Amino acid sequence: MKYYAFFILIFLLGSKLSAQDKVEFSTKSDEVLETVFLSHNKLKDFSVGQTLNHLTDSVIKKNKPMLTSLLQYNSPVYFKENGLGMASSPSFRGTTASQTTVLWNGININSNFLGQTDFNTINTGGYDHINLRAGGGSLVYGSGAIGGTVHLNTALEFKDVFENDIYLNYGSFKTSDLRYKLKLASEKLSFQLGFAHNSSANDYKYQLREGKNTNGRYVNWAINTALGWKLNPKNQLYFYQEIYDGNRHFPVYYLTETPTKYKDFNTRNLLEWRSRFGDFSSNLKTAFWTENYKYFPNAATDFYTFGKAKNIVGKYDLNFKPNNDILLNAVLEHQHINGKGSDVQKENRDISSIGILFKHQLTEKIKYQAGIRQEIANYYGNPTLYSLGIEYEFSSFYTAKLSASKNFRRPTFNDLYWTNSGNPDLNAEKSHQIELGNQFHIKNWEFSLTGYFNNIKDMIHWLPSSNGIFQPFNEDHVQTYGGEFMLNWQKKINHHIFSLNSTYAYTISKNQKTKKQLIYVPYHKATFSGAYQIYNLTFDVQWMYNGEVYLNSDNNPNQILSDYMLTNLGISYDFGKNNTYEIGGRVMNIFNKAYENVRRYEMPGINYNFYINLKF
Amino acid sequence: MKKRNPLFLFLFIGIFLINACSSDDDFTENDDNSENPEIENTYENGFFVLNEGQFPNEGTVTFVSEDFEQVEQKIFQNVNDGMELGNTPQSMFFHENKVFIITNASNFIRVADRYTFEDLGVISGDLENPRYGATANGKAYITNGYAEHITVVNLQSLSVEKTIPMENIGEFIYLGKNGMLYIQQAAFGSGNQIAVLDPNTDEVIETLETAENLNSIALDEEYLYALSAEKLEKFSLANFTQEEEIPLTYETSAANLTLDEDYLYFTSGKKAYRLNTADFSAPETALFEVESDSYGTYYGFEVQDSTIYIADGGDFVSDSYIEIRNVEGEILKTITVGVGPNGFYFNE
Repeated sequence: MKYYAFFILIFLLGSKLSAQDKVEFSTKSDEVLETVFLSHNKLKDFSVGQTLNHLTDSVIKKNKPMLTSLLQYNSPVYFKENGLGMASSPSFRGTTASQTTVLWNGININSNFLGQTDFNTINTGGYDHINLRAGGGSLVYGSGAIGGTVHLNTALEFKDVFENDIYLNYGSFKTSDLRYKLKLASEKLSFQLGFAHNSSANDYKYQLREGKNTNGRYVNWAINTALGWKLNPKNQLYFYQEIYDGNRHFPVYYLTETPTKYKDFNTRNLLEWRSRFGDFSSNLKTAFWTENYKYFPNAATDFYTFGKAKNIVGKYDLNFKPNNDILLNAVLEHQHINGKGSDVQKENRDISSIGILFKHQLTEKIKYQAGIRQEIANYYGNPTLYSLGIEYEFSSFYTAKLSASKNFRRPTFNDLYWTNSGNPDLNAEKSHQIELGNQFHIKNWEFSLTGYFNNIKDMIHWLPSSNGIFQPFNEDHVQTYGGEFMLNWQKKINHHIFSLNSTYAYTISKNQKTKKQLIYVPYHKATFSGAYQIYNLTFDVQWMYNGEVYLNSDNNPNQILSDYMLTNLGISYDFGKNNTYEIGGRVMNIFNKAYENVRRYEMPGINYNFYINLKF
Repeated sequence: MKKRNPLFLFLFIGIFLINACSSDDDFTENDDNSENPEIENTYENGFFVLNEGQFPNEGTVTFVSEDFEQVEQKIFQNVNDGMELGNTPQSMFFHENKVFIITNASNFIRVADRYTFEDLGVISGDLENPRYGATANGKAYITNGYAEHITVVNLQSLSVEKTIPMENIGEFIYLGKNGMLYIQQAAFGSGNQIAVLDPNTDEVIETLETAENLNSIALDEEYLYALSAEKLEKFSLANFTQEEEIPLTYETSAANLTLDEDYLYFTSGKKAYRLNTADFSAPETALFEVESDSYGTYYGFEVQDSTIYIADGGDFVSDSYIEIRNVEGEILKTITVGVGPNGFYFNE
């Protein structure tokens, strides 16, 4: 194993876990050693005081391909989905959908129009690692990082590698999930190609009422390519690209309703140059990404409304590391957005920011970081953001963490420019938050307990104005607070490998005017997954619990969605010795629970899928 | 231009909050019908408040007796064993002993007995985001928000008979005393036309042009009054020409034109105004001002027999209320209703 300057060794799970920042979710013994690429070292370097979740390839494959499903079973994030595979919105720590930022190889890809990422438009088949960080992150990741951030990463390695990974899955409701990944690399060049395709008739039977999920079919595919070139030990060039194409028909409740559909076409390109000179290292990124959606109010006709945006991002990141204990970092960023839509006049936005971060390992046991960032744009105000974090390692098994930050979310194109509705006077949403984390590591057990408080002002809310037209206003003041618990355990006894992961979140999210819990934010959410491997045979179980949610802002107890528990079972057998030749099957919702996570959109009962996974 | 309801946005903003129906806390049996206390004529002599619910959602109907003392929430669900009414009810109209509830997101018209509210089925087909309806010659004429046609419903067979192509989408529709139908072809702050449709031939005989941003219209025996953001116009029903117009220079766009006993009423911001149709001059002082600070102020507004009915949309995510005032503006009664109340229908 070579340790290049731009590689970091994340951890040896179950033995010495020097990265206190991590809670690892891995079940396969041979994946304990992970190399993660530097593009994400920013995440690690500047997460002092916060907690990261790391989801590996093996965990990703145990789930349905879209990001919603993965996070639903493996994180404290709560999702609402308008039927399986349909529009999906996260609520991270009791915040709104646009207060979670999704980063693709470090680039913020939340929609320019909607502010959020629809988690059912991210096919996880294309990534090597998915990380989650709860809590504020605007200082490094910009707009929207209030509840937390989700990081989708491609990892390129410079070593002799030729690897094919084929995953074919077919299941109930004519659902197919195909993923292919090629890794081809030498010590100079590294290439990766990923292809993912997911489609479903999605016509599952309802249990809460007559009928089936009509007009819910979908298809999507994604191609990911990445190329790395090590010019010399001090300079590397990278290029990443992703193309995503999706078409979803939205379910109707009454058969008389007009069926609608929604198409997404997104492209993402990133060119990156990493360089090291003396005590300095730098990272220059240029990204070009586009989003393009079309909404067909009548799926049978060609008429659609649309929004399309082009984003050009330039980012220069300079690190100064005079010694092993001090890291100073300056980031300059500029983003140019060109957006237009059927209801948004063509608009250009230019946004700049400058940020400075400082990290210091004060003593062997104490480290801290501090940072400040200034947004420079000629609308929505120019918030000044800060972040502070400190960690104290009391002993090898206990670390305490404290972090405080100010974060923001800027208004979207729709908020500002929607014809006859947009409100150009909107301010950014602003959040001040603080969290206290406790991380324990005892033998094979690792768990963390985190409490947080988040005060969010000027939240943007669309409401009807006097003439019946909906308009956005900086209306709400919300405070969220609660606790998160995460647990990870793994043990190997001869040919038996056990693993266990669990999360629990208790969330209060209160509108400060009414003192009521926000609608669609459960007080409780819990997940559990366990696996047992004996020789080449693996059994696993996934379980999740979503607490009840209010549907009305007055918390009317008669207007709720009931809580529910879901359980999935999986079994697989690996015929391979050095390579993986695995077959497996999963039973989802084994107790056939009838449930909705958005009112009127029932989710499927028991269903099955079978797969083959070949890695060679 | 084809105008779309921006509601679909909310699919993705993540605040589409859904509720089935409103609270039944205030369930009160109407005990006035001593002859047949079971169900017969339960909902006579009072008015209905239509609550559109939270999009995309089930609406409800609240019944209030004419003395305002008896209130019953979600009467359709109560009478029909919890059966749902439809997605986003927009308006109602009566014909003989039936009530027709137009539910715009589910593209159907729910039919019920107007006195018992027992379900009589739905009418669907050729309805695309149906908005309002009026009856003439044994037929109902329904406007559509997503289609440039009027849907004609046969009130005997309770089925769609045909569609009448129009040049624009339709909003409010009223039957004039002269037997003509007047169709506002403007909604959501855009449009400036009123079509005149002859129900005997089902043909458009005239199209009136108003100022931009036509908001609402009202009819008396001789005139049609058209309220746009900054103007009130008066058209003769005899020759369809504009006779008079007055500028309205209030802080907020005028809305909700309604007519009762020689007076025109409208709202602007939190204020309500009235003027005499004979004088026809812009009132300088408001009749009253509501205290609501919600964005749903005057989501419904009606004047009937010198009594003013105001529905406050509230936050559209919880049960809201109506206010009943006399023409001096004094509050007579405030009543809790369902989510998003949008209109009043008097069952006499």
